[in-house]
Amino acid sequence: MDFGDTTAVTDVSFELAFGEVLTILGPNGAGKTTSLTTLLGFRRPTAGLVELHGLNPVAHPTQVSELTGAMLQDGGVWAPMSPAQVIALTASYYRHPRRGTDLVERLALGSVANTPWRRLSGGEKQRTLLALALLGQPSVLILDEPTSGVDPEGRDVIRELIREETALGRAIVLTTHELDEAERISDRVCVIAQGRTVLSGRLADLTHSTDVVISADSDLSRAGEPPLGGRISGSTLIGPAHDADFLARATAWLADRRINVQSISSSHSLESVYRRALEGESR
Amino acid sequence: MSALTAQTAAEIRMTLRRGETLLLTILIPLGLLVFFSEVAVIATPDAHRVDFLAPGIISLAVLSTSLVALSIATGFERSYGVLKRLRTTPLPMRTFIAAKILSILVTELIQIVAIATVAVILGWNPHSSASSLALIVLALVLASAACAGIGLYLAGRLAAEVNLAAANGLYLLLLLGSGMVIPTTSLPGPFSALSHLIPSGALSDLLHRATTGRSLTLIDLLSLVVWAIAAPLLAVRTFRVD
Repeated sequence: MDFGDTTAVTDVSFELAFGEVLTILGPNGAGKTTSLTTLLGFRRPTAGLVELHGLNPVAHPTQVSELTGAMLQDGGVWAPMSPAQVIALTASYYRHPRRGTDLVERLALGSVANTPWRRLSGGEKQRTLLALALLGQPSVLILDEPTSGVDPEGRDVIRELIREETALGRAIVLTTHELDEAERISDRVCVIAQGRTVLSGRLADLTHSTDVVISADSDLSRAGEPPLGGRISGSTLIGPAHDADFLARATAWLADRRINVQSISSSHSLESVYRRALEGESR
Repeated sequence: MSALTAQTAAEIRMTLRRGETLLLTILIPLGLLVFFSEVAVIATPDAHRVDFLAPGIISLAVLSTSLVALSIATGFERSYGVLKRLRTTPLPMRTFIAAKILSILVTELIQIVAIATVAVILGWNPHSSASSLALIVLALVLASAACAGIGLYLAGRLAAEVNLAAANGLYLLLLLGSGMVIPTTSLPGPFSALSHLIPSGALSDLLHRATTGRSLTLIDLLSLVVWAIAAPLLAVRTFRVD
């Protein structure tokens, strides 16, 4: 996807099944939003093929939109309209819309349902836009940073809704800068850097590790020789996950030194996977 | 309710509730009509000033609604991401544009009734026949399409603030150079002839002729037809929602 002489996205591909959440991650300017808007048919790709529901979204925008709900970062609503008014108006665009009142209630918009858009907070605007994206009962939902600018309570509402919609069989593609959020709600992850996919796959596979990682509450580098099979890295003790006795040896070793355990994990964090992917790309 | 009906009703509601639009589309035209009819500031070609001013002010009403108000509102809709969001819904762009055109026509009808009523109170006595009425309706529709095309072209290409300035500047320029309140015969030579080549000037001249029972000039009608086809086509081809 080119803009003049600049190539914004050149090689992005991902897979997603119904009932799954795919999170697209990447630094600012990586091409996440361009990928989503191209997928929605906002612009014709300079080269390559974009299909949604088996249709070219540029040639068949109405058909694609009937099956796809989208919430874009800078999507807006007429300033004088309230959430209730714009939901009622937008419902008229669909053949089988959801009940607007259900979405107002589900997204905790009841207290501001009749407040003009210009007076809503950032979080209320985001939740209204999400309600609009869900109105048409889409089979695919595209959400560009849905929790951006939303308070913690609002984020919980949105994340819970994403889980519910996934359970209903919808395929959800979203972007976020919150790695913790991505780790909590994603089934698949796609990392983009400089317009290319640098990592893509199931979250469980990407974060799977052959090691067990024990995080302690203090630095272990001066705690002496690690237990058999283990190695020390800062405040973590790492050993082979397939060695059933390692965990017993490690916890005993820590207890002897009166060091508390904070967490035990047999997987990499998404953050470490993400950073490694970006470091590999920059080399 | 169909999408077209719901969208048209929403557009009309928003237009009529927008204070600055009411000022531009109703109050300024009515103010100009009353002021220039009652105060002898300009020399008009007709015996009664209102006979010259009423058709000119109706042309101004079309210009203010179809071009200026539409362009400014659409420019801000684009700037605020409304159009981008609509692009992700199944509302076809042609339905959205049709709703805008219908709301323009409803607004213009309200304007024309208000202006004609005040003009009649001020002594306007238009020539009336079936053919002149048909010509007036045709000219209004063509001019509305032409002005809407220009307005949407500006809204679809310029930043909202630049478009606001451009639309208002154009309004002033066309108000003065289209024979709406100042007769084109008062303009310097080439400008008088050029006024027939712009949609507001052609509309103004056609309405003057139709309401005073004078014969029509082909150049006015031809000019309106060309603008009514070319401007919307240009807008559709160049419009960007983001």
